[in-house]
Amino acid sequence: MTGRLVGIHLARFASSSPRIGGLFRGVSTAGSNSIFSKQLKSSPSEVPSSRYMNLPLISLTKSYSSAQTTNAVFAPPSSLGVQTEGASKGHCDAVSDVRLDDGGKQLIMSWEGGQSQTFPYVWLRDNCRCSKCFHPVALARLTMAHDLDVDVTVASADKSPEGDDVIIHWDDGHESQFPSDWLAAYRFVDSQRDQILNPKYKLWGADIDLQSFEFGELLEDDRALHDWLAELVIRGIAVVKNTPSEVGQLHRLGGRVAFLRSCNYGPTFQVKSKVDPSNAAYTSGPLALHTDLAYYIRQPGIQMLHCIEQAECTGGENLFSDGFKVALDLKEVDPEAFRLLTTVQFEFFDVGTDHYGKFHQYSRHPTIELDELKEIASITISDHSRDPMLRVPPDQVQPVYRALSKYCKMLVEPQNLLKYKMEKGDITTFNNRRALHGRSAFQVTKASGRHLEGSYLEWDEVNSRLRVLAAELQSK
Amino acid sequence: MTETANGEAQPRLLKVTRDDQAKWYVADLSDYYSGKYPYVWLRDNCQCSQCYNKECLQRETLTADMDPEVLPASESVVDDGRALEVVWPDQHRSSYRADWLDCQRFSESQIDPISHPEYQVWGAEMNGNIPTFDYASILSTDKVLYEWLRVLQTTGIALVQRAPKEKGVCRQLAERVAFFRRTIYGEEWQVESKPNVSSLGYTSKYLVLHTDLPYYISPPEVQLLHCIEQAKGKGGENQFVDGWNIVRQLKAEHPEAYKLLSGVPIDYKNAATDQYPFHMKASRPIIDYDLRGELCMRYNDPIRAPYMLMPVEKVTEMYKAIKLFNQVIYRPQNLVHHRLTEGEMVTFNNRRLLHGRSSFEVQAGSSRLLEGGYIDWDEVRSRTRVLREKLYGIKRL
Repeated sequence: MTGRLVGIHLARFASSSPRIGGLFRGVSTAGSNSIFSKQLKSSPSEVPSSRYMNLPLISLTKSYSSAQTTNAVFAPPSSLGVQTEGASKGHCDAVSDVRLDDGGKQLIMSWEGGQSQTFPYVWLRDNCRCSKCFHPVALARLTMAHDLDVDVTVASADKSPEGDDVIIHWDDGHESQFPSDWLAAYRFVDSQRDQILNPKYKLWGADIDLQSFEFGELLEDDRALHDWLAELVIRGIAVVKNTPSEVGQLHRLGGRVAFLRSCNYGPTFQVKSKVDPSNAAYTSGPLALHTDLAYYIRQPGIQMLHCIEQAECTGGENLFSDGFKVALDLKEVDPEAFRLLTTVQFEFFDVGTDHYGKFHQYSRHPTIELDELKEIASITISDHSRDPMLRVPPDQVQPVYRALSKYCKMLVEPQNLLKYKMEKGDITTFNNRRALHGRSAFQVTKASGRHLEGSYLEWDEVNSRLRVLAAELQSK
Repeated sequence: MTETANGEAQPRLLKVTRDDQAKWYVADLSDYYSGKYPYVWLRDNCQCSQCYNKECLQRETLTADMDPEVLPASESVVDDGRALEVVWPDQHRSSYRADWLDCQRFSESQIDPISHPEYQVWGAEMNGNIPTFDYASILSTDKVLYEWLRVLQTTGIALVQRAPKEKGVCRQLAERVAFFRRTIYGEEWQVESKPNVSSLGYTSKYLVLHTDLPYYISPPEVQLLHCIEQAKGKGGENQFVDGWNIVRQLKAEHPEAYKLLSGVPIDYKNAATDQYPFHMKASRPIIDYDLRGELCMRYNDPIRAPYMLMPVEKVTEMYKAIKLFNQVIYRPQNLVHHRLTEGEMVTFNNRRLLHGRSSFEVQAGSSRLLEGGYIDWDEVRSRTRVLREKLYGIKRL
């Protein structure tokens, strides 16, 4: 079952590489050179050229020289922000004691600061980081769960003389070594929250100190890019200013993260109108607060709206409301309404023809979606695309409308409603699953044009960019 | 629409009664259906041109303006039972067609098979019987495209044969639907295995059963895998397992393990560089469901991270459950094998199936090249609905 690995996939194309679980991407060998016959030594920049000599290495060097450090194998859980908040890296106290509990099949470690933690043997063995068990370049486990002996026992365990490592000898002869500060970060149910997947949100209302960033800086400066993305995670809204007044800027900004998320309207969409008050008093009605693409199962994470041209008008402010904050307020004043909005699913649809041909999108979502920790994960409101279909017993219908109506009215209360009039060169960026957006009515005062370009980003890519930037900025 | 007792094509309203306590109408229709229609819902779904934009097919009325306690001023059944007319307290008038009302049965409403697919669960009997489609026909014929997409939704796996042995085939299919789901690996990607000139060939290790990109909060959905060049030598068979089948067995035989596998979030992590450095991470159970009850399997041992958000006393039990999971997925009665031939594609639901590959030899002078890509269900389902209407006239309500 566990044959020695002798050859692996070769990726030779700049645009892609094997994506099979991220294992051995861009890494190849051939013939009888097994990568496991040699122990990898420290500097990763040696790794590509010394091992994989016979194969084109262009992408390989580019792939692995910057991202990997000696610590990569033991990279601690990442934190949000360059300053390490709290014990994201585990504390640096020395290990004071290592004890075996064979009955409970676990190791009990104590640190000088008084902290102690139990580590089940099977977990330690499953996460051994030696190069036979964990590929130091691909950063992937080599030990497979179906080969794992869940009853594996430790023969002996000691701390290193300085107390910064724990060395374990297994009963099958294998040996593992773990840095103690790495172990200290893994506290199972008591582990520190992942600040990117489960952030501590900063809730806001009409009096928010709306942060703004310079477009030019975001393109060049990694620190600014990090801060903008962190703001999107924590507060869920920010303005980017002084963007060149032509289409395509969102592609540039999106490229700094990874790529733009496409939808049925294309990779970007345009909102364009030429307005002339001379024909009749041109007024455009208000756009109610909503989230975009409610009719998608996989709703876009972040929206960006670039104001390329702003009409000369009165009114026309962009409106925003923090769906998370108002949902928590609703939970306080009317828990039953909150409960209904978390359970009843509304259905949404969109039919038409656009960039990719004819489409007929359809989905269903609760208004307030809770995650597995019962915390608010996502808000979906879209009067325009909400379908009549409501798959609940009829006696639930009126109560759920009452709940929705209450929530919608709370969203537009003066203390919750943020008004921001976009200027030419602004890009409003916000969490499309949290911030509701709309626009107040406007009346044109002078013949002028209005042109917005819009697009989306996804949280997977934003989170990834944030982790990479945080690590890079921290190491400087 | 089935024929009613009177032999008419459309049902009609026989009687409509108010219930101001429950705040709904009770309507008896000629097809023996008796329905309840809450007042606020009727008001919210008024189809007049003020309330509903027929061109954009969008509601104009806003929740913020609605009165959830609204009581109609008056109502009448008109046009020989074909419609219900309601006058609201503000004198607004609404008209609702009987056949439209007949379809709106709330929790009793008919299921839309595209939005709520019915899954055909399978095991080893699929060997030699994987649904097969012709590549050129999918591109040229809407009916074949529709059938291929339906099979992907219900069965979860299909072979597409006689595709050209060159790159770009996956893109053709993706564009026939709408567009690729892009990931950090780009829109399409290649997997190549080639011995170096001086070697006599080599053996590539097996790939355990897994799902792709479990470190994405939203892993890709439909996977396309096109064999452009198949190595000369032994092995290289793809393996597939139906997640629904596994779930069924685990629930029945090992309910405790199933609870852990579907309840405890497992961290998956992937940090490296492809087109740019990335650090992806997701934390979800191995057997996961979304709010619509759709299965999302998430399993790839190599990139399972050490994090386990559970009480330490349960960790060993969790590992036992993972081992059990491995045993069940590899049961012969669950495994489907298929060795791709050149020009053949396998297309499947990456959130439902686990896929793997046996080890293979690459003999000197030969090489193995695959190209792949992903498509989202949003786009697949949208294309399916459009085709259903075009081919069969089946409109959504």
